[in-house]
Amino acid sequence: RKLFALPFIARLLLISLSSNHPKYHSKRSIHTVLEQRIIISIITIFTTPLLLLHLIMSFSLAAGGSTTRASIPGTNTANPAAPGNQRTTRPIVTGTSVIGIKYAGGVMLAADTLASYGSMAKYKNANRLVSINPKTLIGGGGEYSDFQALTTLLRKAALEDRCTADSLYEEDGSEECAREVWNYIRAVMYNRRNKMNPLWNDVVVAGFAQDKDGSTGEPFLGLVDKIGTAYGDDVLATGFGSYLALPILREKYRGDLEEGEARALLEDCMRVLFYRDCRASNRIQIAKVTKEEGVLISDPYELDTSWDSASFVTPKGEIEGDGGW
Amino acid sequence: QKQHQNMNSHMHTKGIIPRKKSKRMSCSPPPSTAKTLSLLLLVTTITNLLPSNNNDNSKKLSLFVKGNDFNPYQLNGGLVSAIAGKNYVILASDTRLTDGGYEILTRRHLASRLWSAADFGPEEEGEKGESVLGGDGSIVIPTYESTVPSLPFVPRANPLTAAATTAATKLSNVYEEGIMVASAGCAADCEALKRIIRSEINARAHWSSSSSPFQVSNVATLLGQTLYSRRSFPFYSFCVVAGIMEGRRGGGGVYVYDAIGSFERVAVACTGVGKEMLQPILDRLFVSSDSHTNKSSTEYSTSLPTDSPIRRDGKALSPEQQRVGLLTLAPPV
Repeated sequence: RKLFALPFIARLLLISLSSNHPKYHSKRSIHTVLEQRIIISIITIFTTPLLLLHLIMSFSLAAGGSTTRASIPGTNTANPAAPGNQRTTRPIVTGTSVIGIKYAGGVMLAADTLASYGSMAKYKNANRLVSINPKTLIGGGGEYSDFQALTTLLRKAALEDRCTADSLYEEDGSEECAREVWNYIRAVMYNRRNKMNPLWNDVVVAGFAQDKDGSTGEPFLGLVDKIGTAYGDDVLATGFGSYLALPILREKYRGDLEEGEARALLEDCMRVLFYRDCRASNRIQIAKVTKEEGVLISDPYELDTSWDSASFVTPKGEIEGDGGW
Repeated sequence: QKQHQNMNSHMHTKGIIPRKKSKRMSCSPPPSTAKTLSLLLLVTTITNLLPSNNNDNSKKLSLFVKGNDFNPYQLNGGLVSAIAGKNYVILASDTRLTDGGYEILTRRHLASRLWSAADFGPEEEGEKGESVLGGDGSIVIPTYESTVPSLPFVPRANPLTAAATTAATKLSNVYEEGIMVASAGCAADCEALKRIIRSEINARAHWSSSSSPFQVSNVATLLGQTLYSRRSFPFYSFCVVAGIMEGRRGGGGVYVYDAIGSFERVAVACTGVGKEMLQPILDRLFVSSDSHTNKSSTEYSTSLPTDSPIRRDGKALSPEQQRVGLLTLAPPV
């Protein structure tokens, strides 16, 4: 706002300085209208880019709103719907868990294709596993619109990388590796959290980390949550999956898992999640990142489930039961 | 019109042909409208420059903002400690990352927990010939044996079990120079703090012409100032800084912090989750190297009268000894 005022101040000063009433004549006044106009235009030319930059920055995804509006965290909590104060306070359309595992050939992620509207299973064909560039895969739980915005931002950056690379044909080195994408997402999430306007997502990043000489290095699996906590491990899960799937994954994990074994393990975990997470569905997608082929995302398919387990047929919570699960 | 009248009056009084400026004067606005216009512009600019008035009554800041479901902090746990010796310092931390509740997010988190304050000199080689400091300054626990040429990755069997993690923590890295920082609390803030400090020090080391641009005391002050600069929205990060002190005193230097930047140099330090349990142990195990405070012979303190029912532990460090700073290891009781 202060930058907006600059052209006005400039004009103000010039008009007051250069008024051609005989009373205001002085030897240092600017006499010609042409000179006045030149000076005004120079000042506006220099300040307009700053103004435009300020406008663009305050509307960008990574900036997350103007700093003048959200300067003090905690104000306007009594009236969050006040005009000019837009902030994410709770997620509306949400995706549930994403689970990931490293295996011998690369990294594999699994997620269901459901975006819930509260307790309603509203969007049953939502893609929550997305490839950013041919080498990096991300999966997102939480607010689906924020995940879409984040995906758009990352894809824009990837396109820019491709278009400004040294060669259009050579693939290695110009694309961001998974570790770079993970670090970038951390910075975006942390910046938004500092403005108390988060992207309400837990994002899993899968791919390979790049070595110092630019060659593809070790498999990489990392997670960034909505306040910018960033960590990596061999097995990861978001949301409900961190409670139900992680113990299974940690128990069964080996460093030399085959692709089929890893996929079966992930499917088992998704089945457990469908049984016990009421915001999950059995229509899932599996995606993998390998060194040779890059990112491959499967079409959605439905898991077979069996509901004749004793604990489902005769729930223990009934009067005759022992009160257990 | 007023201007024109003045012109006419000029003409009548002076009886000269009108000046050439009359043509230019008709282009510019008359002074009365110029004055009102400038006044209007002045008012609008001043109102734009004033800070906006918030309608909300409360401007209280708290760690947990009321009325908002979004909590910007998460206590990710961690216990960090450091001790200062005569010519060494030792830093230690755990590697567990929690979600603040019952969940363990990862058992091998070091990225924001224990890190080097800058990239000092050539990288130290670890046991396997790899750099033990990652690109972002954190310690790297090698998970893959890269010496086997046949397969690209030959990982250890199930590195996630507790046994494997204790084996990994036997890794000890000895550096000849360097300043390390260990921070616990909110991992997102610790990571952000790490990047700020490292970029400051790396930039200074890069552009500085002197051979040793940064000492431990400089890093300590920088960290204290950085933490205080966010006094209104703190970094929820409890730190210890350790390095070898320059100058006459020399020896190990350890500094301990709280989340808003108050710090002091101490002999033994710990902070984070469980610091209340660890600090008495550190106080008890390490005695001062100053000769006049040699307390190894007395089990109980002799400063109290002998018939006093109170028994004070004779081997524990007093606060004065903490501030003096240099310790030697004493065998544990």
